[in-house]
Amino acid sequence: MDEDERARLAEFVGSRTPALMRVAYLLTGDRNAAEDLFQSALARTIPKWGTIRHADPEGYLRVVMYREQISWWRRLRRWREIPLKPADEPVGGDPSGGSDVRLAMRAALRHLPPTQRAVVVLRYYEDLPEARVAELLGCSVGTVRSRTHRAVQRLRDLLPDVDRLEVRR
Amino acid sequence: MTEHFENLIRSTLTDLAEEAPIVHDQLSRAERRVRNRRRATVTVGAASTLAAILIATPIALAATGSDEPPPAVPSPAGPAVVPSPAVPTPSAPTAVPSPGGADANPSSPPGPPGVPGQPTVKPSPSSPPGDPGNPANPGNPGNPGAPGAPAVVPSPSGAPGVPGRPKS
Repeated sequence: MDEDERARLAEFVGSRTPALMRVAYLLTGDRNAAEDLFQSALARTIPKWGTIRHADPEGYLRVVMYREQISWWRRLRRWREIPLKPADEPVGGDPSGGSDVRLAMRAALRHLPPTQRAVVVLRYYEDLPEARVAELLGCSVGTVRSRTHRAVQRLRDLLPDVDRLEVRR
Repeated sequence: MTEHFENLIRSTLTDLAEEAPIVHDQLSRAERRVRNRRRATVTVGAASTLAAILIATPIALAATGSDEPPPAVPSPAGPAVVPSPAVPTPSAPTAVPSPGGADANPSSPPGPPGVPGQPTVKPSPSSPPGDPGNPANPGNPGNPGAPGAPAVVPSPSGAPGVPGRPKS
């Protein structure tokens, strides 16, 4: 890679790192794991930079991140129980307005497995349609639907008092 | 109800994304990781090749050696082939014409082994002389030693060969 190509790559990384790190953080739920995931995806993208720089390098990097996060090898290598922080413990009613519900939802999101968490991020944060999600993750639309349904159902199970909390708010 | 729950998921994810860590100098770290990965790939490839060679070489040598016949194993019955002198059989005696026209009895002791018999008939003095030929030239009694072209083949019956008739 010559200097010109490397300068373009550095510019791309510098400009898109914040947005990509946000996605990585949502996918992993952990700061260190998010940084590791982003670096790993970037390391896989750099050798391909000569062929993807004219196409959609950010899309390529995102796909690498999504698939890296749900890959079986990465789960085997990086599997660990994400410790619950004190702020992630189930919370009771909070009269401050909504923060209790969001904290409970944040804690529930950490309990989702990587595949369901990736689907939730793509569907509700990236606002991508099911077909696009299926294309990015390399699975069928039916798989995306089933994973989404299971993820939402699990969140409901983890937040049985969400209706009560909403009412109290 | 579902719409409200999905909105709650969206708002929570948006809030959570704002807490993403701010990192710098990710490119140099990623490049270092690329070099390490490439080095690991080369190392693993070399180690795999070496392991394959170490495993395949003895197998290949064993497969090559199995084509040859197995080494001789002495059997309890003794050596299979014992060199012995040729024993003449009565079926093929060597007829040697005797001066007296001895009979070729098959029961007579054969000649020494290993000596091929002379199929040609040797003229003997006792044999009848050749045709005197032309009386005008009595000095040329004919060649008594030249047998006929078809040599007499000794037969098992032992009949002695008949000396060839000298040519006139």
